[in-house]
Amino acid sequence: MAEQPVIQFNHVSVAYPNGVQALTDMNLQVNKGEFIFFVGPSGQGKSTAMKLLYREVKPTKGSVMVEGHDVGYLKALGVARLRRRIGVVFQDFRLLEYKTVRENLVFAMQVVDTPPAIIRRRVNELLEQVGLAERTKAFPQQLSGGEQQRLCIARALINHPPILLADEPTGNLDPETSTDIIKLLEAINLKGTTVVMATHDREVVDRLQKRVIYFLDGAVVGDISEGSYYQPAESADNTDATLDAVTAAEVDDTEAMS
Amino acid sequence: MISRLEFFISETFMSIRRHPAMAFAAAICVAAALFVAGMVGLVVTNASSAVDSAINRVVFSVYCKTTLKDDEVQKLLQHIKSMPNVESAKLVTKKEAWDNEMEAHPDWKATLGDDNPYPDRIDVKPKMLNKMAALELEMKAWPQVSSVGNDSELENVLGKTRDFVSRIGLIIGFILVALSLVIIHHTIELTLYARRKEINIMSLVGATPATVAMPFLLEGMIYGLLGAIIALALLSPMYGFLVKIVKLNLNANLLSNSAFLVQGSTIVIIAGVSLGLIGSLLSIGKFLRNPRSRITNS
Repeated sequence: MAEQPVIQFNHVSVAYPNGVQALTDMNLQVNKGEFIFFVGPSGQGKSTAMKLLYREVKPTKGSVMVEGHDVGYLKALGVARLRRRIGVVFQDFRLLEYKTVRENLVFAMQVVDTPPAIIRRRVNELLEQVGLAERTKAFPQQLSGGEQQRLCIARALINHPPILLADEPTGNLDPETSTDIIKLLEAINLKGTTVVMATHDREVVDRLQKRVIYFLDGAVVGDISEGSYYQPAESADNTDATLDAVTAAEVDDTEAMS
Repeated sequence: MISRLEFFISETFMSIRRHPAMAFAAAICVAAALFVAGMVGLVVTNASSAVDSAINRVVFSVYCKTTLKDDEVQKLLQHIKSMPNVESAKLVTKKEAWDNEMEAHPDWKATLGDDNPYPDRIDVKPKMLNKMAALELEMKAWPQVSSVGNDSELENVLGKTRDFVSRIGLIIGFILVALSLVIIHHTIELTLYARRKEINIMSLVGATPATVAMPFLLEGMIYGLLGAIIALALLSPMYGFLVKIVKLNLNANLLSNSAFLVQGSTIVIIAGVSLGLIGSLLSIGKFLRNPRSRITNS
């Protein structure tokens, strides 16, 4: 069966108004049902690439296609429709503290005009799926970090999105909880959802052996199927000298953080 | 549709409950502005009404030439009545004028004898004060007319008074409306800032701009409505008190019939709600047009 691209970056560049060149001539194609990682040091363009997909940022040059639509040309209503097709998970969860677990999900469904009967059914399904069925009346501050991230994932799935974006979803979690979250994302991916995950979590990337996109200086410098976090330059089929650079930069970045 | 409406209303009231101090401050500011605007409005309306009533009493007299026969005078009267800027015209014949004068001043008869010096006269009431001068000028030029008499000083004073009162009222009203708009605009901006995380989430899961905006528009309208109700609660007894004072001390009547008060209250409520709506529209429009402030400030 022919591969179906759900995401395409065609010669995409992004320059922010403050003069920062966040991305330069990015080209990438992601097929339906893939699980891919965006890796690279901080500030190299991973998050900007994610933001382009849900039209938080517009490309300065080139085009970003999601399910065949050029998102750069979408008007306000088009952006709303796009975001119903893309779930987004954040490192900082972004939950509403004054609403319970159930209310957080109900709110997210009400704002997209979902009928009450469907909301009830879907919320119960999602709570089961992410393992929070026993915690429906808890408030976010009463949840553990892992539970909060599960709730965030459940919220991202309310509209049955074919694409799930996760920007550092395990960044605030301990290794054990991170493993649970990744298992959940894998399960979602197995049901056919395309998952794009930006991460610094070396263990996760190495263990899953999925496709890895390497970012450096706002450009994609490596695209390895079944890659690892520090891709040895000599083992990659399609690498060039720049991959040595990304590996070196990663090591520097990690050392700087530790 | 009903569930959508329920959602908007519940979100609006939840926001007001979560920020009661802000809601109270907004309603009080709007109330203060509407109260002052209402007082100005009442003063202007009463002053205009007094001027209008004085204007209603303004007439000018067209004196016919003594050579005119009765049928010619009648023809002139009908012509004046048919003029578009004339409200009414009344003929006072030379006999009626004589009789009136003799009744008012019986001693004059001894001096004047039976010789009636008065001409036929037509008292003309113009439709609008500002048309009076043009009418007088036109009629003065007619061959049947010997002269035209009026009280031009009164006419000028009344006209100027009305213009002045209206102009001052308009300026004060404009300032207060602008002030109310600024207050509501800033209050809703503060609410938007306080609720930016919610807006962020709404936007991320695919809410349309209208869905994001609606609770804030309702919130602004509620602030406006509350402000209007508070303003009316203060205005109503204060105006009643003013009516009594004016009647007692100046022996004059202010407008106080129920139709006038109902109309005034309706205007204050509509003004409050409209101000709330426009103030919110200004804030939410600005907020939605600037998506970076929406998402990145969460």
